Amino acid sequence: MVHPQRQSVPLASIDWDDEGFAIAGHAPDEPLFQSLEAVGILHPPLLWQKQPDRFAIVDGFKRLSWLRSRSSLVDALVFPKDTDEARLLAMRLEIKMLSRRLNLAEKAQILARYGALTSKEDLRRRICPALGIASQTESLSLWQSIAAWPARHLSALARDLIAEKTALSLAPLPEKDRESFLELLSALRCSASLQMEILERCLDIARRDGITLHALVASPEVQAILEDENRNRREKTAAVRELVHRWRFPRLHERMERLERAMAEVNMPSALSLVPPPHWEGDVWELRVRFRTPSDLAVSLTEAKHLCTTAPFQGVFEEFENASTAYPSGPTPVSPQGAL
Amino acid sequence: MIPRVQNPIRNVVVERAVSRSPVVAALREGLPGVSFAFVDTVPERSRKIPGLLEVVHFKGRFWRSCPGTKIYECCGYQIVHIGTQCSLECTYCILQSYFENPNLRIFGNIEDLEAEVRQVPASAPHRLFRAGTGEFTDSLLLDPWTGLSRRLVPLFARIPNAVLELKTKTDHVAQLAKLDHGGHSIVSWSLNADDVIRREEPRSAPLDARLNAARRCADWGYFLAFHFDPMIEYPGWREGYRRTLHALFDAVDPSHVVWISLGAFRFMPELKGIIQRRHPTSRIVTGEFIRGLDGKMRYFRDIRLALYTEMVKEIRAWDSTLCVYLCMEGPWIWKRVFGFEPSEKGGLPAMLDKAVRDRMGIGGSP
Repeated sequence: MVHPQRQSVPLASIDWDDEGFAIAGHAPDEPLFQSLEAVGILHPPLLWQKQPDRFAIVDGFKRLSWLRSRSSLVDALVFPKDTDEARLLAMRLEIKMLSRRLNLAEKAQILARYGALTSKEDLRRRICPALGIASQTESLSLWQSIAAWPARHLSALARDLIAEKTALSLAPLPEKDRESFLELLSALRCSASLQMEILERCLDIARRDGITLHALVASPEVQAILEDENRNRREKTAAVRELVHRWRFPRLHERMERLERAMAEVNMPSALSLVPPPHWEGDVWELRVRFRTPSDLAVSLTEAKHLCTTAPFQGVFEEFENASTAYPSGPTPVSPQGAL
Repeated sequence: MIPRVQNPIRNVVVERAVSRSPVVAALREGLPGVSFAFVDTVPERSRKIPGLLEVVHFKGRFWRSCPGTKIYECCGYQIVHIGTQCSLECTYCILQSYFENPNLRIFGNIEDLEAEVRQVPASAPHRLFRAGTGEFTDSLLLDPWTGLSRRLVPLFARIPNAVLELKTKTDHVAQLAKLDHGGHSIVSWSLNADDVIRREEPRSAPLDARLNAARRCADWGYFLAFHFDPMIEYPGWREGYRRTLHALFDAVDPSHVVWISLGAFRFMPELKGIIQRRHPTSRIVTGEFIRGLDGKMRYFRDIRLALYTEMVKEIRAWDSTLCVYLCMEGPWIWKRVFGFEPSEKGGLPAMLDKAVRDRMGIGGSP
């Protein structure tokens, strides 16, 4: 192993266009710049002396870019010209991998670049666990394709706008579809589980109706929600979920709405709540009773007994039983007309 | 007669423990151009090798009960385990995720299998056993070359309290022609709407070939059964399934039919990704599915009711006495389709036993 020598290097000798060892963070790094302003460079950057007066940056891109406008020299650790480039890259990746919490964009790039240096087995057994990302064989190629995303998509990944599972699901999609969905997620900023729920349903709708994900997201209905200034992000997320559920499950959605309307007609005492079978599966209902004392319970049970005889309560069960077997022959596309 | 579906086997690898098996002898005789390799142990593979058939020495139980659930009504089917996997590659097939080994595999120690077939029904002589080989593979896919039915059909003919169901999507029936079945074998077909067969079962026999094969089996005295499973809701399903039913009614006499089952498409959630990866043009997983009480994805209730009621109405008009049952459905669905729950008739297994008694004259009085 070749050891670097500590030396003072003119910044003008650095080849700033050589990004052979760059792992772009795609995210602002304010804490680092604040630290540099406060105490300067603590750990010398690593340089590779490719020619007598030309140096490539191996590690320390941000530190050097900060220093560039402030000094003409840098105190660096310099590897000699005959150092093996692959070993330098591996060293750079190890430093990057283990130095701080990496964002997903950086992880994808490390994995992709390590792919050329080591075996798939090493990627799966060592590199992926060190990076804390899924190590299934099929995930590796997805991560490597993510590394090649355009900078604006990697930026969304770096800023945690999309979760790991969402990124892997978006990886095989055409760029235009991915772009649209990333714009949607940027507007909603919802949790990882909601991202996946919305994405899976949108993909199912697109596949069923033969439209693109881009067309779905660009539909007037979705755009109206995103542009609604009277809704905050949480409300927009709820509205998008509701819309996508209606498109994905049109008849189930309608049935649920009708049942909810029937249940709203019941003047349910506050201590009681009626729970239908989930998604109409089974025929077991639940009546939940909240009480503090035995006498509270007795009152609620009396109210429940009376409730059973009321027309609105009976109406709930009629609505439940009223299965429409007279559907048209198969579902018709229900996704937005504007998108078709 | 030469089977319509081409021989799916190009290479056979045989475990030495079963190298003298009659199944291997039949394969060597029936597949003269195919290469055979003999190994101590066939390795477990996760990669599919097209055309490969593995013949192994099976050390587990050949006769086992079908895994049902407590929530959805199970038919009490008994599995005679002859092998695993299928090369028909239907888009919806559960076998894609059920076994780790994706290659066709049959069990060479046929004598052990036959011993269990003799022993299990004999251990409970007053019980009727409805057994079948079509749970983990297609019963007749490889049968022209393995000769398995030539051994199993006559064997079941000598068991007074058992019937054998050979379930298939092929028309590989020529080898059944002159077998001594004794009225104890049911040849059954999985049927579907023609659109579904073409889109989702492209390597299986077309509908008319299946029905022609059924007609020939009926001519040879076999009893028949038909399984509309999985039923798929698609634009035009009502007309599609009606056409298939009418083709069936034209092809066979209902007196030969022991039962017809109906089952709407259902799948374990993990199968969805597999179907989307392996069959990217298939849309079957985009239906209105909910997670059922057993964890499987199912069409929500109204869609299943629409599928079943339409079919039952047509079948009842053909033969009002024919046993029609729902595969893995809840009593709440039965009640709405048939007006009764299986428990009111002693349970689904009892209903099917009755069908065997009434149509096949096997099983004595209840």
